[in-house]
Parts: sequence; C-alpha cells; structure tokens
Amino acid sequence: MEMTKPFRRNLSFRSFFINNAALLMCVLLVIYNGIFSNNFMRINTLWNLLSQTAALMFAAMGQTLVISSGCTDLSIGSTMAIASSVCGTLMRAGWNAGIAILVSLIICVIIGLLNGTLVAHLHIQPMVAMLVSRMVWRAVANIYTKGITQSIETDGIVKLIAQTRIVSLARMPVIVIPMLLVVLITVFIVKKMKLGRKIEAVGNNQRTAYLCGVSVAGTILTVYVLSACFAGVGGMLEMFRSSSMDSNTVGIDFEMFAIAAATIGGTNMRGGKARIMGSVFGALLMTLITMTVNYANITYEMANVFKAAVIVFAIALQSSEKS
Amino acid sequence: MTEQKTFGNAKLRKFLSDKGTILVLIAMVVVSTILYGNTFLSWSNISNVLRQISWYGMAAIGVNLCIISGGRDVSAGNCAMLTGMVFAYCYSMLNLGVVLSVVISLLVGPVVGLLNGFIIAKLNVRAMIATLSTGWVFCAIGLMMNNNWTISMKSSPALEKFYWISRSNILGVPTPFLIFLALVFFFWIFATRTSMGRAIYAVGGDPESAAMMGINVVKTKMIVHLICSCLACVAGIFLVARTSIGDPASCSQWGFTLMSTVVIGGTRMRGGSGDIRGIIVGVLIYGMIANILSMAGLSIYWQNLITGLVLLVAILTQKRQS
Repeated sequence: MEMTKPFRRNLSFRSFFINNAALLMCVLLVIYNGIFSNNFMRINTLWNLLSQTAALMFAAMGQTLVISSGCTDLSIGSTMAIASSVCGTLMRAGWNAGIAILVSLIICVIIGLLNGTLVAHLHIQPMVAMLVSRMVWRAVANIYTKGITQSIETDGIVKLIAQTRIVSLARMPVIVIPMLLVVLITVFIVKKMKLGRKIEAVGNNQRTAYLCGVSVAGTILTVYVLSACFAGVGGMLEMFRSSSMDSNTVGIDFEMFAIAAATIGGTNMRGGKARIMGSVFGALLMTLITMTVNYANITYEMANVFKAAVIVFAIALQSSEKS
Repeated sequence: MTEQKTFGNAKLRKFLSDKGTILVLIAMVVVSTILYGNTFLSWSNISNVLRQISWYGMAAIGVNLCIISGGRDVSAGNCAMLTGMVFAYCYSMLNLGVVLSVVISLLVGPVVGLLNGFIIAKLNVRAMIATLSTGWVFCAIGLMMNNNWTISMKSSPALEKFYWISRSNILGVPTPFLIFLALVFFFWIFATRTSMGRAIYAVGGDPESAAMMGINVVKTKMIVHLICSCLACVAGIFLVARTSIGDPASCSQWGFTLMSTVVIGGTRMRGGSGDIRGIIVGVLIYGMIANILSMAGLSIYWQNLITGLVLLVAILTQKRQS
C-alpha cells in the first residue's frame, strides 16, 4: 500500500522529528515569545508555566500509560470533576483535607476499575466505552454538586501545596514538587517495574502478550486505575490552585490536551512504547500555546484551534510513518 | 465461540434483538402515559417532542451514515451550532438578506465536511480524535464571532417567513418532522439502492476488501463526511429558525448524544451494518427521555446520565448478539 522509502537517512530524520516534535515545538515557541512577547524571559514565567501545567501533567502521565497499552481514556476530565467535587464538598462540610483527598482517591480507583472493566472484560472498543464514561461521570459530578460553583477554604497542607512559593529557591511554587513526583513515578513504572513491560507488551500486541503469560485484562484494569487516580489528583490540584470548585468546567477537554501531549511527545496511538519525557514536553507545549495566545492578546478560544492543529498534525505524522 | 447461556427459545431472542428498541419505546410511552396521563398525551406535548427531535434527527442521519462507514463524527453538533452562528452573524451583523444569509450558512456544511474528510481519509487520523479536534475549532470560531455572546436577530417579515420552516404545522404535524421523515426515506433509498450507498456499507465492513473490489475508500469516506456535515448544517438552519438566536453554546452535547441515538437505533459501532430507518426509533427514544425527565422536573444533568447508561446498555446488547 505504502511507497517504499528509498533513503534510510531520510527515514531516520523523520523518526527523530516524530520522537522530538514536542521538544522542538516548545523550543520554537519559547524563541518566538522571547522575541515578540514583552517580559517573557523571566524566571517567573517559568514558574507560571509549570504551575499551570501541573494538573495537565498528571492527566498526561495517565493518558500516556493508557495510550501505550493501546487504549484511550476520554474520561480524564470527568474524573477530575468527580474527584474535585467530592473532595471540595467534604472539605466544605468540615472534613480534614487529608481524609477528603483519600476518599476522592478511593472513588477514583472505583472509576478506574469500572472504566477498565468496560474495556477489558466487556470488550467494548476503548473509544466507545470512554465516550460513555466521559458523559456519565461528568453528569454524576454535576448531579452531585448540582452544578453550582463554590469557593473552597484553603489552609494548612492544601495551601502549602497549591498556593505557596519557596522563597529560597527563586520563589518556586510548591506545586512543582507533586508535578515532578508524578513524572518520576511514571518513569519508574515504565522503566523499572514489570508493569511497564506488561503495558507496552499489551500495547504492541495483545495476543502475543497473552500467549507470553501477561494478564491482558489485569494490565488494562491497572492502567485505567492509574490514569483515573492521576486524573483525580490533577483535578484536586486544579481546584486547590484556583480555590473554587466547579464541576461544570474543571478538567473540561483535559483528556484531549492529554492525548495531544502524549501523541506529540511520540507515544503512538496504536500502543507500544511510552515516551514519558515526550509527554512532559507535550504537556508543557499545551500550556505554552495558551500562554503565547495570552501574550499575543488573541482571544482564548484561538488556543484551542492551535491545540487542535497540533493533535491532527501529530497523529497524521504517526499514521504516515506506518509502513 | 464459546457456548452462551440462552434464555427462552431462539425465536424469542431474535424477536427481542430485532424489535427490542421498538418495545422499549412502547414501554416508555405506556409508562409516561400512566405517570403523566393528560400532560403527556396532549397533542401539544407530542407535537412539541416531534418538533424538537426533528432537527436533531436530521443530524443523526449523517452520523448514522458515518458510523455505518466505520467512522465517527462528534463534530456534527458543533457544525450545526456554527451554521446557526453564521446565519445570525450574516443577518444581524452584516445586514445581508435572509436568502443570502441562508445560502452563506449552508456553505458551512460542505466546508466542514471537506475538512473532516481530508483529515480523516487523506491524513489517516482516527476519526474520533480528528472530529473532536475539529469540533473544538468550530466551537472556538462560534465563540469568537461575537466575543462569547449570543447573536440575537431583529424580527422582519422576511425572517418570519424563514421561521416558518420549523415553526409551522402541515395537517397538524410539525413541518420539520415531516422533512425529517422525508430525509430518512431519501437516505434509506440512497444507502440501500445506490452503488455509493452499498460502497459505504462495504467500506464499513472491511475497508481492505472494499478496496480490493475496486471501491475508492478515500473518496467514499470523504463523501460520507460531506453528507454528515451537510445534514448537520441543515439541522443548524432549522434550529436557528426555531430559537431565532445564534447561540455558541447550543448543541454542545450533540456530538456524544447523536452517537448514542444512532446506536440505540440499531447501528453497530463496528461499522458495516445498520439501518437508516432505525434513526426514527432512536431519536424518538431520545426525545422521550428528555420529555419524561422534564415532566419529572429533573435537571439536564440527569438526561446526560441516562442517555449514557442507555447507550451502554444498547452497546452491550449488540455485543451479546454478535
């Protein structure tokens, strides 16, 4: 079907570009902003960039694992909504923040198990199954909060994590630390744990993985649970950062940003190798696009247009790579 | 395959799987008659339901063709919204006449369809991701048209004539519903009696064998997305004639609910099978859910929840049959 590619050098350049597209585009955007945007080249811009990316980074890490196992999780945004609204409602009711966070994490595990069951045990196509769960979970979150926006009292540990800065470290926001942690955890899972190998094996070829003794259903379940938990933490961070709880808008379209981050980072939509660092730069790229649009004084909606272009570009690049 | 547990006899199972959705519809009618007797059975309520599902159904026909061809289209709702916004923009902001505004807004469909078709068929991007992304773009364009605000339209005699298409009745039946039925009939003939229609089924069943039989897969996919967007565009025209306002927030849920309507109507998500006529049952059930919930005084969120669950049940029953 596909033409044979005569030049090997050409091919390796192409795969180099595909694998590093996110980094290259980040660098391009930084250079562009450095030249055209006022006040861009400051340390505070970096901290803003990182703290705005925090929630998306969690979503992107989960999504990268799911995509590398050959599935897709479209319910990330809705899971964020549920986690943040449960945690927020409990905290408003006077619960200890730690316990509230724990309860919403347990709920995230349940959501992940249900999502995984749809795909792994009921054998519904991941896209279709996630379509259902995206709609249902968002509706559940909205029914739970009655769709009302409420403010959250942030104090103690919550304030420490989400709204303070470390003065001695060039005023670095503390929220960067959980973000780095999730990246390290994901790298550890992929590089050092058996689970990482299993995920990539299932993503490469389910049948082969099954014949090699990998529990395909178990792996897919684990991946969805991880993704839901990461998404839940991301949703709560987003809520703490803005100190308001809004089940209608929190995490909306985050699943798509996460897909964009993962695909532009070089993780193939058909499954296989998970490129964590690619996804990290992909997530940063998404926030950079928003920041660039803000700096250029264009309406916020234009950011989504650019992000959509990035997604289509990244996946088209991947499909053309197929021999 | 492993032997499945069977209940009842084979005939009953077959009847249930073929006519199950119609039975569900009848059950819903009976239940709502018992619960809300006169309010539900009044002709004003029924014609209201029929009117509201008709433009929704028009868009669903296109999505149905898309799914039959093995594709997905979740940008149909955004396309309908954009059409309404373009109409309102042309009429109110640019002061073009009604006829010219309709013509310009009808161009939205082909443009959207060609864009979707190009990305999906030529660039080989997964239909779901592609249409989700393009849906964002249309959404963004719609929002930018009047800085996130709705566009209202000043009434005029010509505009009142335009409103006629979705506000009038013919023999007591809402006109848009009749047009919807006509479109269903037309596309049923198209899908079953023309070579293009058969090609759509073939591509949905197995693209590779379809290509070997000499069907141009890329062209077929392009045409399907073109039809889908054009129908969504027509739906948008009817919607704006009903609401008389260009609203960037309208139809935002359509992308997902349309797909569930199609699946409830009996089309398999895998592609290659399905009946355009099933859409009528699908949209009736969808409209009934909305109607019952609004009579019960429940919020829109419940509607999303229940539509999602109904979709899940429909998919699972399809799995059982295959």
